[in-house]
Amino acid sequence: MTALNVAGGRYRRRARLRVAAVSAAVAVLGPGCSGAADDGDGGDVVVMAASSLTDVIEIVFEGREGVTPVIAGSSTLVAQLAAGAGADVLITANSATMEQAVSDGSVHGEPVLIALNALVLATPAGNPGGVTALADLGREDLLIGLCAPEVPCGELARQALDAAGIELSADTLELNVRALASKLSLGELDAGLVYATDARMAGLATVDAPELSDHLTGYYIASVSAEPPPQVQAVIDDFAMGGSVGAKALYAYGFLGSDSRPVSAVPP
Amino acid sequence: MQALTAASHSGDAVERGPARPAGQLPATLTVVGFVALGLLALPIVGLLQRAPWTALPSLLGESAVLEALRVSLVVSVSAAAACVVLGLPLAIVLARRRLRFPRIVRAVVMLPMVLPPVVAGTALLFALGRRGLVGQWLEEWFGVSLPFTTAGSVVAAAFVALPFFVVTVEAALRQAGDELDEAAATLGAGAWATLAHVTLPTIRPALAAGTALAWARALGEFGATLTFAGNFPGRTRTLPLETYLALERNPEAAVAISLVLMAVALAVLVTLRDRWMPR
Amino acid sequence: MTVSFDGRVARSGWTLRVDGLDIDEGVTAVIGANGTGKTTLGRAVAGLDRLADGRLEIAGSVADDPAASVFVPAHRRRVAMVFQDLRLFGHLRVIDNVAFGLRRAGADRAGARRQAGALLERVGVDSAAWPRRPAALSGGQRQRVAIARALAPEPEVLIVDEPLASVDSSGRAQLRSLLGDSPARHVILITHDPVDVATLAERVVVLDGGAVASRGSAAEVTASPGCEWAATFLGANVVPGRAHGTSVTTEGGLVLAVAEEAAGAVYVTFPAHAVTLHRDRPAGSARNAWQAELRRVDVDGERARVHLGGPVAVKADVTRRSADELDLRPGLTIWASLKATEVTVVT
Repeated sequence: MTALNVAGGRYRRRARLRVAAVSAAVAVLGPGCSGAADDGDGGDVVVMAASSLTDVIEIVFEGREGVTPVIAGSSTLVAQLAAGAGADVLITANSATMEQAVSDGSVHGEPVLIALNALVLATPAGNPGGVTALADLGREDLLIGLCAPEVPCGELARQALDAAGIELSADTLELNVRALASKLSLGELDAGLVYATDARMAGLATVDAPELSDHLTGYYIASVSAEPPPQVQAVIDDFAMGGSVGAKALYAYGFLGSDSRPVSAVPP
Repeated sequence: MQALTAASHSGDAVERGPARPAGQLPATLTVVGFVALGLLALPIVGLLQRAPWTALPSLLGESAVLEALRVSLVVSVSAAAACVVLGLPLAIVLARRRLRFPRIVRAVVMLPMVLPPVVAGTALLFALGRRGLVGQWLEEWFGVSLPFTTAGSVVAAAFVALPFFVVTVEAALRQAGDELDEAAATLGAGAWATLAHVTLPTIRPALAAGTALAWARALGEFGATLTFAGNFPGRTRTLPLETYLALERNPEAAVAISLVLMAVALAVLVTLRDRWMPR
Repeated sequence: MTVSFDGRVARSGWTLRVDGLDIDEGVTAVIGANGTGKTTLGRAVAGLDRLADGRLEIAGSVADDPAASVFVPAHRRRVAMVFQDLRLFGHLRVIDNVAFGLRRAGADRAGARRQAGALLERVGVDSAAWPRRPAALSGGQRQRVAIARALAPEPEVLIVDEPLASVDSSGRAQLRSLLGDSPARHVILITHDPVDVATLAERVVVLDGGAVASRGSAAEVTASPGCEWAATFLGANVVPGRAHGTSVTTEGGLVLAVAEEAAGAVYVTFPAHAVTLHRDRPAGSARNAWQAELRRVDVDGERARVHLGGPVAVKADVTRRSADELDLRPGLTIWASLKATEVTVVT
């Protein structure tokens, strides 16, 4: 009896670990914990940015005090904002997510287009799968990866493939473009559609695919508040003004330039 | 592990005598304790409060959810089975053999418990991926490639769930000691007979608990599976992955799936308490 | 057939060294203070501990010989053990605990249970207890089950470690008789109980400090115990008799007052130094006094052990000086006295 009791203590402990795991799973659904300041005045300026901007954000805000970047997938960021996460500036990787944020009422400033990004057909260095055209994404013998249609890069890829009428033979639908690029660079996948910027960062080879040139995604910046305080406006200007530090960084990382036009004025 | 073992030795409820009357506990302690309990319970309450109860059947009846459920069951049950087949010998070796570097070995066993699952998945890619340390030979010799397959999901889930089984069973083996094994030997039982007729039956509660915990962990696995096995409906997209994607598409569906996962986890824990934790 | 043991067993921190010990058939008691290696000796014979060097033979075949790389594992030795902490299988019914060894030897379940039941009956475990788990039984009942379990596979050697420590008094006599005519050819009895030695053992091995201090028949070892602990232990007087209330009538008709109440056939035990000798009938608090014939005096250093005949054969330890003062010599008739509180009644 005694022995059983002693053993029982152990299971109880295990059990607590499980509860932790459960609440962690549950937390995925709850509001994201951004550690953000409330309004921007007094605390740091909190900048929520799409994960494809990770390196640009790092360059722009390196050594700069008073700015806290929060990096995640655009849709995650928008969901977090809607759930009440505190932030001052939102940068998304497509127009749909920015529109969602506007219609949620979590963004009050006017969205501004700051860059464009293109999808490319990417392969590991050396192209071991011998990929020559977009149609190869239908080859059964290759391991093909795309972004999941729920995230912007996947939505864009779906549009492009539909337009080109290509029957896809995908093996994985990654939840963000960085993960997809890493698996390509590790050689675990033979081909995939990633943003030009991510292909460049991950050192991937690209294969010409003219069908993709029509499918661009726009990056948008907007202030959460309708009347941003000066330090928040300064952060927006860092990206939205031609020749700004943000614009230069975006260009350096392979983003396509834009003329800082408002959302409604640009094609999707 | 150290803490677990120590606690189990002192946790001898029979000899400890009656619990202290609550009046002797510092009030602050009680309050903080209940605050902590609230912290654990709050997310569950939040989920229940947002649950689309009436729409639940139709949300869970979606073919994508059913497909994810099927994949999850296949993956978690296979992973739990793998944990038993591989974990039992490991637990026995850890508990019974004198090891050269016990602390290091133990740390390696526990590692998946503390490793961020995404890191675990990446490490699995480096080891078992197509270009990985072992994976390249698997591909070359047997034509087996684990990433982006259901088998890959099982490997990832088993990797993170294995320590839960091993730690539970090893602790029970240590608790049981080898006295009964010795007695069996003097009665003519060889090593296998002793294992089958004495050692394993003696730790049956721990075997059940370890298997259940490993299964529950495998069922909830997200990061390592995603990183190592990817995400494809009907093949590698498990319920947690479906939940994550549903969050982008239809938050109500995500809540519905989470309710299912939570109910399953609670059922496992409550069963463990009642059946395998004699007071 | 003998168990012959010649070698060392290394335990962490100390070593048991046994030089050429032959254990013949019958019951051999192994005695010694705590930590002198009694249990280690038993474990080495059973195959639970290995020899560091030397050689162990059981019934003519080598069981352990490190130099020749021979080690017969415990389950092939036909050496059963009744452990001090019993080690019953908690997950098995009582009957299946006893059937365990038979099943391992190839018996089918029904046959093994039948034999196990017969053994349980012999050791006095009521059939109502057979389908229960050991945890539901009293300490004494569990001890009987442990003995039955060890006897079941008909071992060549039966090692019993502190056999009667937790048996209730009513069962001791029964278990003693069971061990006395045990089917095992060798019974090695590791014990702290002088009654066990006096009533069961044909030979005695005394261990002291991890080595054999003395060996031989009970009489031989008593004459030359080899160490202080054994001298005291073997100096214990064990006298059979019948108890009625707080007095015990010995077989020789002497009535001894005792401190505890008992009834029926018993043994009374008391240490040799508890017996006081007087030239004249003693007065005072000792209610037990009788006239005895002095048979022999063994002088060992400052101690003299006096062997008395008369209504009851007992040993008395006195100092050499008082032996001289009393002028003790064989043939003398002398008064012996014993305090009731010094007497232990063993049922």
